[in-house]
Amino acid sequence: MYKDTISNSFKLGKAARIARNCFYDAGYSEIFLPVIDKHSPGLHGGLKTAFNNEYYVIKPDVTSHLLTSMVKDEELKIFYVSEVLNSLPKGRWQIGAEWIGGKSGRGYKIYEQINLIIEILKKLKISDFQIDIGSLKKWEDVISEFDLDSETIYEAIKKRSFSEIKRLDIPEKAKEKLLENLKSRGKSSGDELIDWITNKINAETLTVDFGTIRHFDYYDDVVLEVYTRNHGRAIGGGGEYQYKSEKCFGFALDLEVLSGMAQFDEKGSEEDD
Amino acid sequence: MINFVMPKGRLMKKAAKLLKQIDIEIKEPEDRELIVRDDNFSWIYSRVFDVPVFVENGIDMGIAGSDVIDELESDVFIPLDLPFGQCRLSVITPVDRELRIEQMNNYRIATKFPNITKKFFTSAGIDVNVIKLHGSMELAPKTAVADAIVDIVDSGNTIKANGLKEIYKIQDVGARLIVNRVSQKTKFYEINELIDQLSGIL
Repeated sequence: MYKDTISNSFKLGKAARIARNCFYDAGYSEIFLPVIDKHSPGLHGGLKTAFNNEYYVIKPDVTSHLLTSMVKDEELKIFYVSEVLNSLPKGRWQIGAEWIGGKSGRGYKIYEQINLIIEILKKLKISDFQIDIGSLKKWEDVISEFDLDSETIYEAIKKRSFSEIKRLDIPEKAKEKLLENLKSRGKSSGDELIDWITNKINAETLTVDFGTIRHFDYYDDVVLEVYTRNHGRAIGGGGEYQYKSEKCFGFALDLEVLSGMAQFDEKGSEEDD
Repeated sequence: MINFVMPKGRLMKKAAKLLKQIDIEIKEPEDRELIVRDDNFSWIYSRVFDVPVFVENGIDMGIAGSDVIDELESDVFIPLDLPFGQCRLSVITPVDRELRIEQMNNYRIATKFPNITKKFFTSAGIDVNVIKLHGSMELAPKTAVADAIVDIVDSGNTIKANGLKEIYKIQDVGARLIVNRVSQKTKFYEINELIDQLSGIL
């Protein structure tokens, strides 16, 4: 039992309720994945354990859990409220959504989910938030153009290490392009899809930043990170990934941080519904 | 305004010298002052091991040793390697024992860096008992609390004076400029300008 579990739970519940309403209004269904599942290479995060000579993972990363649980091809617009563990027995509560399959274009999937993030944060009365959008493809283009070692490059750019990039035994032109990407930040990008999304959303809160790199290796192009000035860590993030031949998009927000920042009215959250 | 956390001690003096080259004067703390402010910076003075913790949790920038960043697995940006604080993290044993790493199964290893130590021995396939100490590592083999230590070696004089020898270098160590992941976005231009200026003199 952790300190203040009950009062924290009430706050989490209030924030989750507001977010749930936003998801339902946008046509998303809630899913409930098992707390513990058999270990498989596709599962990320979670707390690994063994029982009766079998390996299991407790509360893994939700996106990877969902993808390894799917048995038929169908369009899924789903959301979840779940605790996620990352090698430690103490987890973090998250809310998140995934849009898998269907006929909508990838731009529209990303556009809708960014709007959902904005709506949830506004309804929680968190005003000081920012969303950065980046593109892993922008990095992949440089890696393939100069035939670079992907692992080494990602190691350097995840740390934003100018020193490591300058030390790499690669053509100067490749270094210039990598450093240029790291320093690229603004309202437009030259990337057709990202510029379409930023123009369509047209919000001060949305910025293109190619230095935005998310850690999960299943992301393959557009990624985003959500943060506020008053909190030293990202409060959420998401990205685009491939499931079979479909482009999918999902995001997660840290419900514990959101519930701490949210301003709830006296009655609860009814007025926000 | 940039909040900058500096490590107290030797690293701070060298960091001050480096920043002076780009016309940034660090105001040294007087008496027991912990934070000193000027027009552009808020200088925060902390223990070496706490610098990455402050930066990971919201302070904009800092200077820390790569050993500490690795030990704490700090989730921070590390834009620049700085030209001071160079030393190495090594396995050290009593001078009168002829030992190789492969022979250290079940040995007790005292260190300030338990995570790096465990990872190193695990990757070498050696099972050791790691004892966390906060200082005066040399005491551990002398008092038979540990068979060996993993510690920072600079000139090697301290270990020699204590009847110890370095048998294996685990990693090189040096000072790093570190940046909070959110500050890098919210203070993008100020932080990049500072990185560019420092990069220009390295």
